Amino acid sequence: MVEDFLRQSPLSHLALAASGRSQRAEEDGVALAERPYRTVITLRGQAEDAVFVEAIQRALGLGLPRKVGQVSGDPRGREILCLGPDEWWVTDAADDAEPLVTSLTEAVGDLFAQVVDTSDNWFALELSGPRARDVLAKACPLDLHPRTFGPARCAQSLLAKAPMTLQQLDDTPAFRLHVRRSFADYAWRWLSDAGREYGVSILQS
Amino acid sequence: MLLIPCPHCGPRAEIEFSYGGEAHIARPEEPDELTDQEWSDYVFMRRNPKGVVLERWVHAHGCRRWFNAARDTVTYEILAIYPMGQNPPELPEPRYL
Repeated sequence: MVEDFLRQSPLSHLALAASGRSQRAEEDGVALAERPYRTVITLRGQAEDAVFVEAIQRALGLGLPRKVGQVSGDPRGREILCLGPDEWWVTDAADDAEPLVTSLTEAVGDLFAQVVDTSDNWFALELSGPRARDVLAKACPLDLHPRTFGPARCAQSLLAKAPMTLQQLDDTPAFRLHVRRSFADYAWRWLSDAGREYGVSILQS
Repeated sequence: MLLIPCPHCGPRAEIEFSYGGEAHIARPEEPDELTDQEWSDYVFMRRNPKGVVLERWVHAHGCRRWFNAARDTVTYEILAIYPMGQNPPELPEPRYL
């Protein structure tokens, strides 16, 4: 555990707090916000094992999504993202992975499963506003049209060649993008530039 | 660009995938007993047909899972997707040959 006073966002050098607004300006098509300290836990296990599924659902109080790309839970709280046939993310808005890791590790016990805290590997940012899809379309090959993508959906893909896990939060539309921490500055600058023609509000985190 | 139907994620752009070469090439059981010619055939020689190839792909920037695909090298059409370790499904003869 890193001491709190040493810990800083990978975007701290941009001094976003100084320039940030509390909400998107009316004339701006998109808004960007950093979410640097989310909890991300990688969970591996056998989806066809009813004991495993039951143990996870009891520990988290959420349904375990079985289809790749599905998300269960509350986008502003705790969620489970299905990333692969035997791979999930358990994410939480709170910056406190330890109790969650402990309860999941106890839940899976001796089962053929794995629980790893990967929070520090990931940096999240949120892109929202009526032109959010247009901004993403410049950087990402996914089809984000509402007929194929929507709230409670996630996908792993590329953001301007950087690996990204994308999820849609609501119909605004608002998206949360997880990129590797070392790509935070790149992703932020890329999206700020791509959104410039629509107007970008920087939101305080 | 190819649109490759990942068995887990659905149709995705080719740039999310990595190519794994020809499928169903078994490593020799006793490599020590092969001649240099036989070993180089195993390592280097591939069919390279005009028509259907069976090949391996991995969804490197998606679910990171491997799968087999049957692809037509003339039309670039992906005719079938099937799991690793399985035999290819029956495929119709290409019409242009």
